[in-house]
Amino acid sequence: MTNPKNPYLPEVATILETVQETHNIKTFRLRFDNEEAMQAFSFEPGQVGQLSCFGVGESTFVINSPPTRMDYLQFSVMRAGEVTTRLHGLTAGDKIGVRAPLGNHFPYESMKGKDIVFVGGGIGMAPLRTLFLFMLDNRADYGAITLLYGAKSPADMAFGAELPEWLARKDVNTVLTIDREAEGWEHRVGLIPNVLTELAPKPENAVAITCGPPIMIKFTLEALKKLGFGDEQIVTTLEKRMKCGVGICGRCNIGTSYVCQDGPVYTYAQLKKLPNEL
Amino acid sequence: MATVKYISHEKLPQWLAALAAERRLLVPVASGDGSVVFRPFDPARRPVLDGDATAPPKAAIFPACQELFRYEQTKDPENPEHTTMQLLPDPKAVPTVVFGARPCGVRGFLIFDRVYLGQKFPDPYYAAAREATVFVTMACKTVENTCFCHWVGGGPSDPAGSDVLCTPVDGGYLVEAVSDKGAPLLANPLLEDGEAKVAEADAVKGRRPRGPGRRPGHRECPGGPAGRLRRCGLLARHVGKMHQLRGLHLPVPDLLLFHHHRRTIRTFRPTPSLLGCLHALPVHHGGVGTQSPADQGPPPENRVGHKFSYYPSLHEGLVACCGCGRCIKSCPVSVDIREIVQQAVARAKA
Amino acid sequence: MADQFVGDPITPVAPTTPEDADLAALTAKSVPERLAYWRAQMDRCIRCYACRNACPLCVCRDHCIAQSREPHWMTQEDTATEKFFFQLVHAMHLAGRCTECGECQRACPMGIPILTLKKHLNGTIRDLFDYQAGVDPQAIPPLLQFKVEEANINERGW
Repeated sequence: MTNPKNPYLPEVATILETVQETHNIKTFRLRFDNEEAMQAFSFEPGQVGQLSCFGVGESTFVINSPPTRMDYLQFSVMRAGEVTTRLHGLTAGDKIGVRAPLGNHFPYESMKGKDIVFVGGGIGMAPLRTLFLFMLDNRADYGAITLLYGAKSPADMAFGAELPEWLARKDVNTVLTIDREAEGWEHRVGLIPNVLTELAPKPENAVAITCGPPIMIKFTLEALKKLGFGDEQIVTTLEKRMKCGVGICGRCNIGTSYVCQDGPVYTYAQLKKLPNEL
Repeated sequence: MATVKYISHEKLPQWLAALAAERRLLVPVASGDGSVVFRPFDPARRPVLDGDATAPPKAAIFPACQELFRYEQTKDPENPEHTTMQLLPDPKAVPTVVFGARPCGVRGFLIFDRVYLGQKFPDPYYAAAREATVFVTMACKTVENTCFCHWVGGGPSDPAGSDVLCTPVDGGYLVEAVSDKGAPLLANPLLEDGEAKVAEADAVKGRRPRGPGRRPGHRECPGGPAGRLRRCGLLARHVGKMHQLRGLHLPVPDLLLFHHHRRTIRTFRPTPSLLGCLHALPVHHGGVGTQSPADQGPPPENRVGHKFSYYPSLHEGLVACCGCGRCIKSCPVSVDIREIVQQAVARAKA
Repeated sequence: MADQFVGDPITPVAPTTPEDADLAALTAKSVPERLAYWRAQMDRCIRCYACRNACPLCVCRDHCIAQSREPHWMTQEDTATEKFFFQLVHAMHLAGRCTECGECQRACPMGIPILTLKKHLNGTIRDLFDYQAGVDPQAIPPLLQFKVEEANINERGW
């Protein structure tokens, strides 16, 4: 847990295993070295953590595994710069620092009894995975669950090892799509917003949770609005360069809203009220 | 009745030497080409006490670079695969006296306190340094035309945030304890009774600064001045000036808040960087979802926004500016933050 | 150099203080003294980069070493070493191009005499290449030409 005495001190953890999801996304599964701290650790789906690559730096990542599965904490990292490149160089047995949980979480309480529509693009699937698995582990609490996951190509799809299981499940409707035809691809082809429009999920008593690259979010929002989803029914999670992660430094601000405190989960209604910096 | 003392100009160096014997004493000294900075007391260097320092005493509590903790990794010789990582934080602070800051500089810490000594996650390094530091503040006899402390709730003899207040009088200074932390400093026998100088000091304190224009009343601007700035493109002109300065982005130190260097983790705090208004380039990280790296909008907007809009919204209307005017004095292209705020408020009313 | 010249040319007036008094004072010091001097000067640098931003000849823009992560040239440490490193690189980037406009030093809020560094390098360029930037529009800058045999660099004779 974020140390209330010294919020800048990470919890030292050891990487148990890594999964190379795509050419630039790598998943890390880790446990705190301090067993007591690991047992005491709790978090809500959607919360994030600052991972420290010792000697290099820190970056923000969503806790990718659900709180219902605490054998390890999972983080999926896209290689994009100095810290993430060095993180990608870590393997099982290496030490890593964790400052978590930070930020707010998905309002899953208010989603109970509703139909859920997940729309994820590329690495945007990472935060959705947390909530998706959490809901599957509490299946009875939720209505129909649809997962629409898209990527540029089959090689860009993360969580490849789990997709067959998700596709096979009868209690969720999993739809995968890629941007362009590819040999051997058996699922849909088409941009996410277009496939979403084809699927035409009903907005009545439903909630849509979406995450992905800005351009995908933009058109997905348009598609959701056309389908009749209200601003309060659309939830997303923002990426913002966080530094302290505890509401002090102001680095992650959008106007008066600190993404590390008021976010990273926002409804579209809340986003509209924020200054236009996205 | 609170003790009031007096110290003459002749005796002041001895008092400073006595203070320096017990604690780290920071005083403003001349450092080349007219600049004055706070440095540890050196009897050979005369403190400059007749004007505000070029840089504030911020580093006394809030240094630009600070070690948060060291880390040590050890391998088990019996089992080399097994390593342990130890984190060694050290939030201890050096007992310090800051002598010769101005009310504006000291008031700045009250603004930081609300954030760094906040309810949920107080910063232990800041708290330790704050506790260990005593401020002996110099009231201002004259006010410059870039000063606007009185617009943001301060004043040239405002004691808020000080532990001891010195007011310049004929031949020396009136010395008053403002806080319990400051009172013991008056016990030094070099200080004489100051009753006789009180009236003269009051006259100095009573002088009202004459700032240009009317105090802007930022509360009059719903959505804050920053909201207006964005909507009316007001900043275009000011940003234009900055582009004359080639508009290069500045790495604001707080961008790399946690910098890992060899075996220490340091934090980098925002310096009193005058062109810190030109914000940093986004650092590319992967992470939660994805988002355009265009972070906070035009940089001067975010600086003015933070100081005059966001912070007041989050902290009961307090403005995150002490009105010292350094930014105005030192800006190479004459961007005047007062002008920006006043125009934003005027447009909001229109 | 002008497309239109307005008014009458003014006769240059010799400055009361020798222009390069700062450089003369610096060169009079021994090398260890110079290092100590610069450490003391750079100590009060606040890394505002006004010097860089005010320079008309600074061209690295978004790829400035001061903020580059890949490669990571400079840390954000508040030490005289890091700050001096920046000044040295900046001066080297300007060598042969700096016209000593002095904006860097004028813009510095902390009064650090960084122009002296550039003057020194300009002196070196003058000695090596008989070139002074901004004086003769017909002269080719040293970095924009190649001579098989340099007049002042005696490669074989040394």
